[in-house]
Amino acid sequence: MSAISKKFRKLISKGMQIPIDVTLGLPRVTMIGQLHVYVENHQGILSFTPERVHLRLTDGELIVVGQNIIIKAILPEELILEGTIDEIKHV
Amino acid sequence: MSKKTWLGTVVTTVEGEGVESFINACTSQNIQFMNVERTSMTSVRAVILIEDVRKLRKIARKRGLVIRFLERDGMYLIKERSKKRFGFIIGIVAFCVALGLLSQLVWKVDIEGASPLVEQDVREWAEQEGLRIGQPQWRLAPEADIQQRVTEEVPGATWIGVEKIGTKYQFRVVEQHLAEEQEQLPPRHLIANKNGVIQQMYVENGRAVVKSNDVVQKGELLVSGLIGREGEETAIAAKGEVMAETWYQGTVEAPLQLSGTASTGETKNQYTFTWNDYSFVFWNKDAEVEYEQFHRETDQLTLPLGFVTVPLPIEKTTYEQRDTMTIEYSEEEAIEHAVSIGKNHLEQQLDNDAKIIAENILQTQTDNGKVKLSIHYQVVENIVQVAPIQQGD
Repeated sequence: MSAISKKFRKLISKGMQIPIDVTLGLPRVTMIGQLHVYVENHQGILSFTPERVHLRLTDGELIVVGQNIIIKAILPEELILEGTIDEIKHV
Repeated sequence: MSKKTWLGTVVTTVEGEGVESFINACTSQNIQFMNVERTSMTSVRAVILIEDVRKLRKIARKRGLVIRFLERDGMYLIKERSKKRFGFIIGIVAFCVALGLLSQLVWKVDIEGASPLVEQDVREWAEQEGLRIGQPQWRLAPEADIQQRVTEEVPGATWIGVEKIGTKYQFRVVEQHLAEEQEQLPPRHLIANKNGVIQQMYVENGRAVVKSNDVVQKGELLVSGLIGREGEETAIAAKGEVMAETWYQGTVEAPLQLSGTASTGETKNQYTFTWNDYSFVFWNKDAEVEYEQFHRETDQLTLPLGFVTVPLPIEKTTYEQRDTMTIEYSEEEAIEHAVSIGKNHLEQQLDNDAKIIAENILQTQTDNGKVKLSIHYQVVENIVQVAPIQQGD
């Protein structure tokens, strides 16, 4: 996403009071205890092991560390991880 | 999130290099993955929808991955299984078809209200028309047509109604009744069975001996069965109705005070658990002592389940509160009461066509909390009694 486009979207988001994750395509990460991680607006899986899941985001990456992680479901824009989640890192 | 999983899912293993990018590629083509687990460094296991299998294969082939399909689940499986149990499915279908077909046949032809002779005729006619057991209904004419034709074509019946009740054809026959019964009656006179004053006479057959306003005694001849010129009479069965005023007298008693128990409308339900000889009151244990007087009714509770009712091991006892009530009547009320009792009593004894035209209270007596009446009734009723004529008299 170019810098001008980004600025324009931010402006719209502010002016029209639309959540920024919608206009900018930013990820929304919801965690349910240690059990589930619910990621919206992901851009695909980079790597996937039971201990570590690496996701691509619009800008940056999301690393989820834990044990026995499985991908409960995956759709073009959303994804649910299940397992024992220890750590979520946005890089 | 997961849509249409009930349609059918399949467990899939994917093996090869770049499994993650394979999943990404699939997701971007709207293939939904569930329960993705990594089984080894180069393989994952996932659940996908059966409808996505073809798309998945295509992508995997392009990328040189090996996919394997394992257990299946869902509606698809039922379809698969039903292929294996083909005979079973055929059986279900055949049953439905047979039921549908058989319900379109005639299963019964019922004839009602006909004498055996006419019934035989109707049955033969129906047989001829093809209205017999096992005949398909669609080959038959509508009921209205059958009705018209059977009424026209079968002699001996005034009207025949035809009705289709499910798989049954119901014929309702109204027969012609020829007036021949009267001829068969033996010769007879009509005599009075009570004393009275003739009010009205209607003689159908015979010769009236008395006329209106005549006083008759019990046993007196009213209508003679001997007609014709004197000396050469012929004996016939006299028939007619003679309405005469007759008299009845009776005494009726009515109490001035009436006491009895009546429910107050208050009830309490007690529930008892019973099993063989064991019983235990678990609801309203003290219902018995709540009311001074009560009426008790015990019911076994049941559970209605369509065709059968299952008895529950619970008994419901209803306690109805009762109270003693006393109603006092004035003398006039008591008399009124007594008069209506007497009238009812008499009406029960009389025939249906009898009518009480007057009632007179002759005597009223009150003692011991009771009213005693002596009433005289005037009644108009049919006093005819049959007396056979001995032939050769």
